[in-house]
Amino acid sequence: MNERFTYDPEDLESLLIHKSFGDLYPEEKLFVLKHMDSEEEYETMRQTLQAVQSSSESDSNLSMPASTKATLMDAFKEERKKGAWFTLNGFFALLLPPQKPWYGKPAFQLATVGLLFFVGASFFNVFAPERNLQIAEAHTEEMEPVKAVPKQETAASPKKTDSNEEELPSFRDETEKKSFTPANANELAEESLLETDLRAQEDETRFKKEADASAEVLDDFSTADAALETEDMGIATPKITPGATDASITKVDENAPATAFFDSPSVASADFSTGTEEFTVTAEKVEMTENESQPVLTNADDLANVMPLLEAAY
Amino acid sequence: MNLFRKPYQKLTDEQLMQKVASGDDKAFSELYDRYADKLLNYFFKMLWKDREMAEDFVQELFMKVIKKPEQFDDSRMFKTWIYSIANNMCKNAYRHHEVVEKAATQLHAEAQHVEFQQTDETHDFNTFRLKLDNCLSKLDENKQLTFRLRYDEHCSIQEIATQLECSEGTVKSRLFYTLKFLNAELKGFKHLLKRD
Repeated sequence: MNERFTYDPEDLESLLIHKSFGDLYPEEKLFVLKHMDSEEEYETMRQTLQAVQSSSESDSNLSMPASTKATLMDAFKEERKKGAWFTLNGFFALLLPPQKPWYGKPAFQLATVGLLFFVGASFFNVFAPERNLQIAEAHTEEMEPVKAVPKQETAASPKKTDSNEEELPSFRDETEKKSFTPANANELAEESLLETDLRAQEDETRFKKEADASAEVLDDFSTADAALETEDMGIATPKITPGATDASITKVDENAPATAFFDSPSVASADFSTGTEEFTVTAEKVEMTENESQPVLTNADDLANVMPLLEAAY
Repeated sequence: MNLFRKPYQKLTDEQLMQKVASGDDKAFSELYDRYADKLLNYFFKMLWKDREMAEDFVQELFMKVIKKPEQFDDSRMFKTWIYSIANNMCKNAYRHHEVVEKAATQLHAEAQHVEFQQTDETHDFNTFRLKLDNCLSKLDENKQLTFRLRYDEHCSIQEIATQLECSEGTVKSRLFYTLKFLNAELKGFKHLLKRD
């Protein structure tokens, strides 16, 4: 409470405007006399200030001519046109105009629409199980090539009797048109398994024939400078080259084709650079050639080492 | 839509300036109406009562607003900003054209004429104002600007400090010593002041 209120020149100005020296409180008088020499100076300053204020109010009566405003408005419109041209030509200025609030910018609006669309699509995917079944139907169509089973094999099917020969095509058509549903899933699976078995039987028969043919060819293989070339129809193109000293041939199954194993990289041709490889000898894949440059068994001794093994296998 | 829009007269200077920046010509018109005459009077007082020059300065100032509205900082008051530009234009006018001394000489001659007239006791506010301007022209430009912004444009201490880029204490100090100086210089008008 003993602390005195402090004044600054702005307060002095306020005092000068509003109070004469006689109206000042004692502490205000002390403050005033710190900055001024006497009461008289305070009073004259007060009058000067009041005169300045009233004179400034009285003489501010000038006004701009109307032509200046018209000129400025034209200039403003001209500048606005330039600004509009620039805005239209700027892609980012169009998407993110600086004057607009964030929710008014086209970029945010487009992003919001996109987000809503994505959320909506996700929502319908989750709560629409029928759509998932539609996906399964599309997968069933990929299995159609299985239906191309030879007549010979389908004839072995127990379902094919004289009585239902005419019904079979209609059954096929029905499966083609039928969509994959839990109700007919077992039916389709049984048919698929049956066709797979028939295929396996056909393959077995074919391998047997090929093995017999290979044996015949090997019987004729006695010339030292004969060429031996094998071809793997499906996977690789293995070729036997001279120096097959470590070769061994095993026959896993009587019905299966013979299989030869080579333990050393030197045994293999350029196609067998990775070491031990496996190939199947078949009638179509082994033949003697005299004129071909590769691969050729040039050393009769090497061939002599290989041949007994091959013969033993058969 | 217009039903929901505020009339331009009710918008603040800062809101109008934002609209000007986005190309709203009505907002520009409203700002012009609010400030053109004030600025004309300000330039008129600052630039040696040359009305043509004052009008040119007002036009030039508004052209700056048109050309570079993005220079206005939303966080500042428009009034402060526009008077800052006006002050800088005045300072440039003083510095580059070397008219301060010329004007001081001219005004000194006018003041002598006033003193002569004073003896005839034909004082009125016009002569007082002339004398006041004469006295102010003797001061350095910072004190002169401060005083005019305070008493002619009725800016607050804070606004003046922002416009002139100085502390509020400096503004107060300048005002006080200018007033003290004027008090000494305008003693000849004592009876006029008392009468008022």
